[in-house]
Amino acid sequence: MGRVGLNSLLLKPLTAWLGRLEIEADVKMIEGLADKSPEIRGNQLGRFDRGPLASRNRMRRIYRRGVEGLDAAGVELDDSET
Amino acid sequence: MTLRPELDFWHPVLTSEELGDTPEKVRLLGTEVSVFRTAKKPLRGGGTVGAVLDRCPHRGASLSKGHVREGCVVCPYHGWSWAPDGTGKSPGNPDGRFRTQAFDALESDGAIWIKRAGTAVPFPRFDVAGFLEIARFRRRVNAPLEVVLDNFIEVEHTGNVHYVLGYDTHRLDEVICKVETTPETVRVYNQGPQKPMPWALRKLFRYPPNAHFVDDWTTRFAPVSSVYDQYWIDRLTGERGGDFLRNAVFFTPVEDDVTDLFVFVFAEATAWVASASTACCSSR
Repeated sequence: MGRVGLNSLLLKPLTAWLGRLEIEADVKMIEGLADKSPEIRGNQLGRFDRGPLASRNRMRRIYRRGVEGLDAAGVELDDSET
Repeated sequence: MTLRPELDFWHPVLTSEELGDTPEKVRLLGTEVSVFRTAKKPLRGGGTVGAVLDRCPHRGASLSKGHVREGCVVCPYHGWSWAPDGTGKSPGNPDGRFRTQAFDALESDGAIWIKRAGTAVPFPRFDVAGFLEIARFRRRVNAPLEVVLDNFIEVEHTGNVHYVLGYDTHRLDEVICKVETTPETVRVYNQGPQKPMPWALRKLFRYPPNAHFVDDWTTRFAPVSSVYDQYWIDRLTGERGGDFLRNAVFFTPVEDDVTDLFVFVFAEATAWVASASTACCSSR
């Protein structure tokens, strides 16, 4: 179904506003964390954390080029798990 | 000067609107860089830009406090000038050969991007053909890259933290979360009951009653970025209904504990919507 009338005019400003609103909520939460250390070893993790875990490995290998330092969590994920 | 290996990759450092006709200082992984337009800012599309270390190698002045002349950034202290390729000229030493650290720089997709000069890495394209640009902006976050990225690649927080885009906290156990990996990418597909949304926004996004919200993204690491497809499906038929959003987020580390988000928001649009929006609300 095509978009008509007021809806078409509001799509851009309302979606833009909403996008910023959600990002602001994320930023407020992140900046208020009690622990902003990138270290996640020892944290208790759930099923939604599999993506972040797999990303840590790739960030260390591809982006950081294996450099130790900030991303030294050393947490490994079995990538065969999907 | 030793540059960190991450600088090999293209990073957005400013939105196009943030770079006028005078140089701007940016920080990328702790390195201060002077970014400047080598020609007047165009009304539309990408211009030509240069980037050199912000510290003048002569006597340490901040080049971003200078100005641009004939495509070069001119030091505000003694007037030495530096071209985008890093070669320098000194008014008082016309025969001298001078050089500073230069960076590859370009303007694309409404942002200014830089990387270490000469590295052979692809530019990080994201496919938005057929989509309408909704917004693009930069947002600084006082937290390390890893911590910031973690937030943007899981949906469990959307129940408590987000206003409308996400899942109902009390029904998170119903959310399907599939992770698929390649050596270079991590894809996460989430599907579950859309959290309650005000009537007006439901009408805006036009999704069906009892819809499931899908948040499906792929994260890449050269540089670190995620492209999100967000849409709704009928939970019974699995058919798509309502709008389709595609967002690209680039995570640029400013310092070890500061990260800039570069957010590019798009929506799938019919030609009619695109023309109406361009006429009424275009920011480009």
